[in-house]
Amino acid sequence: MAESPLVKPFRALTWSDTSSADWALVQQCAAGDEVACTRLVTDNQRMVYQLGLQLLGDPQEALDLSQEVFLRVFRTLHQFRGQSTLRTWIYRIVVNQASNRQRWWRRRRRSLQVAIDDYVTGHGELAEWRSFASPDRLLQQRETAGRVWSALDDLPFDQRTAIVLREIHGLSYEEIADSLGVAVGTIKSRLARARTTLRAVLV
Amino acid sequence: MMFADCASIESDLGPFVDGELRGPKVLAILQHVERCPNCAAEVDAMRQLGEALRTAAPADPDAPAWDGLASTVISRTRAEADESWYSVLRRGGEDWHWVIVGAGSFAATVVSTTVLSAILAFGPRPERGDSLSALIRNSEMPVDAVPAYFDHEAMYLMFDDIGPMASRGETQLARRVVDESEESLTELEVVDELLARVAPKGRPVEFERMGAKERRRTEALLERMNQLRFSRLVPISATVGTLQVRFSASTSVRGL
Repeated sequence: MAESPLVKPFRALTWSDTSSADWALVQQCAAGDEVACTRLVTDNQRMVYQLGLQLLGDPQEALDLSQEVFLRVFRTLHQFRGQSTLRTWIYRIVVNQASNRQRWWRRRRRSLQVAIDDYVTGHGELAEWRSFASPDRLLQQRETAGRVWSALDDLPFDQRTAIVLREIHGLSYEEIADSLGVAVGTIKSRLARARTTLRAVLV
Repeated sequence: MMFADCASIESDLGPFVDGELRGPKVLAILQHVERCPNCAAEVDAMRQLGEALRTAAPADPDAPAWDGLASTVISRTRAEADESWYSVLRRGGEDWHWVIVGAGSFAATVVSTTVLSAILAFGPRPERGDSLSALIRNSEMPVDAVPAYFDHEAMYLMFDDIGPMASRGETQLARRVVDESEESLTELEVVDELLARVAPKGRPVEFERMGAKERRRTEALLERMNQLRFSRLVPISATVGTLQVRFSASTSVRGL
């Protein structure tokens, strides 16, 4: 094996790394400091938007979701007690809001099939799109990406959230469990089921 | 260290790939994966899946969609701070709508149950003798009643010492309507006719609702039945008058 199994794709920041800075930021925001509020949004807006996009699959929905998430953050900031990291707390709000929107979305019979061209239109270009010049490679990447996101869309919301938070956002099991408000064992089983389903679809 | 089998480590392969295992478990899986091509392939497949997901993740757009997000959110926050109490309550209601719906349902259940119980407890009793509640009430046999069963039908009788029969004018009249021919009726025939009068078509009829003639005839039949049934069994020296006859019969209530 070329890669060490102990190395995670991403390393999540822990509360101990940022607690004092985040806590100070929270206090300033709660006191009505608009500069601090702006900083809280700019520090987390990319993460919120991307997670919303990955869970909902629609840029406009993700943008609306981002606004709602930050509004909710400021409305409920006084409830934040530092029992989890600020990032995990925001993740939880994103997931809850996305879950509500996703139910609304599905009730209106949105098509879950994502066409390849629709994928690029909706999600933007791939992360490595501009890095490789080969047209064949780009086409293959687009096709693969379309299949991947179509398969993700077909997953139950709980499993999709778990696999996205783990594989794309690099959260640990404990952070995912904290964000979703469930036990670590539940996350483990959701990830196992999601991987089994995705492999069956993609292989 | 023993070589772990595939089944025992299968559930740990995912956490292993995710770097969630520590200590001896990691070593056990490393040793196993080095010797087991199937599990090694499983680990590689999980890594490739993760790589595919990360590769498929969209890049940040050239003009980030979240440009201006902070100012928009701050503006809305500022506007919300100045909004009316009505708007605040309305927004709060949006978040708590399921709680409100649940509380409303519970309150409605409590109120309707209370009202229904009050009606049943204090409301007027039904006057119809053949109503369902009357049937239920009639089926409650008093302690001092005497059960009687005739031809698979059940009824009970109540007796009381009410003094001289001369004071019971109706009973005196009833004696007269039993003519000579009825003296020869068998017990079964008396019961059949009695049943036909007190429970026509399976529906019990209270004495109070019978016409005077019909009632006298029924009481006469009842007295005759008493003579046939009880004079043989219970020698009674005192004058006995029948105060009440309740009849319980199999009654079918049609579905709505």
